[in-house]
Amino acid sequence: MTKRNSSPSRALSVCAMVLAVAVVSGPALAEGNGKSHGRPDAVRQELNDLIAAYSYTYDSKDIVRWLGLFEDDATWSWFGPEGDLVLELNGTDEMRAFFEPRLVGLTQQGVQTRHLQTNTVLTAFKGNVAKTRTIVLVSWQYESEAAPRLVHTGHYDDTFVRTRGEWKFKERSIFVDHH
Amino acid sequence: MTSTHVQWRLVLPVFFLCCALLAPGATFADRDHGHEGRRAGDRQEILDLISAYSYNYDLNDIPAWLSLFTEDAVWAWYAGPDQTLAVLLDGRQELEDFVAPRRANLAQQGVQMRHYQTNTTFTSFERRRATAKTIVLVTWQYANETAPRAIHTGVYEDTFVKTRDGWKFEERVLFADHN
Repeated sequence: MTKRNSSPSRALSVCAMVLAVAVVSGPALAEGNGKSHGRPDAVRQELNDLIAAYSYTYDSKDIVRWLGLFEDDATWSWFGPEGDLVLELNGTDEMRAFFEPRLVGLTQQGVQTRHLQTNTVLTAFKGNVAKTRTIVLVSWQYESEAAPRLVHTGHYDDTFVRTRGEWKFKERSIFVDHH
Repeated sequence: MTSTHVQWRLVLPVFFLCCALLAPGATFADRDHGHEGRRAGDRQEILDLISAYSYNYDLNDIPAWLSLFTEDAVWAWYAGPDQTLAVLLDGRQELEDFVAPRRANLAQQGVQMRHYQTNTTFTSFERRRATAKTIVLVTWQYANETAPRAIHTGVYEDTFVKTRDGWKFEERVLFADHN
């Protein structure tokens, strides 16, 4: 009798556990692994959006949103045509110290920059780390000029990390085609 | 015995309740992935539409270019840092009246133009309507020139609608960097 009574109780316990798992994991299943659900095509799209945001924020001289695209300890580097390191900035504080006065100067001179970034290829992707390569053409246009001038071409090698479901630049290195 | 029977009659509904609670979690996850998949397809169609704008205009195929727009589409050009409205075309007929002679004139001069559109970022996305921004660089090259010249840079802000014939431009607004 006791044994017979324990079966329904056990079944009730199992049901309760299943219910608990359902309640806990249901939303988690729906939300997935961050915004991208960890799917490579969605990750690619998020990285493309991040790369595009680099252009829009820099070209609109929005230093706060531009810095927000980077991890706090991110590295930004500039290499010359022979692969020689010209500039290395470690962390967003160093990046702000270097770029903020540059953007203010560009604003004062009336220069509209444009970063045209194309042909992004995913070179590595595992877990929460990804790497890409992107061609870039930078143009400048002064207010008094009828047409933009081409200022740089080159490519970016980027490393991204995903923390709290959001991708950010961990390393951005530009390899510029001119001295 | 009767008591056990009654308890089982209680357990079964609870079990089915658990199943029912679990099912929506899985269904939402599937729906979400299905939705993401459809959205990825829509996104790609819109990117193809943006590319078609370049190919059709640059190859002087005005009928094909016009077919990318809805009948009542708006095309506008804002010039320079002050964003002065320079051109406003309302509907396909106005687009044709404005664009066809300009393109014919450029073709007569032997100008090959190219619209480089990059870094498209979606700013809203609904089932049948989306908005996006895209950086653009336009080059011209005369037949006797050895290299193209940069003519314009700027940003397109677009509104797209999904029609029976696929995604179309409902509004295309160019914010050019020069006057």
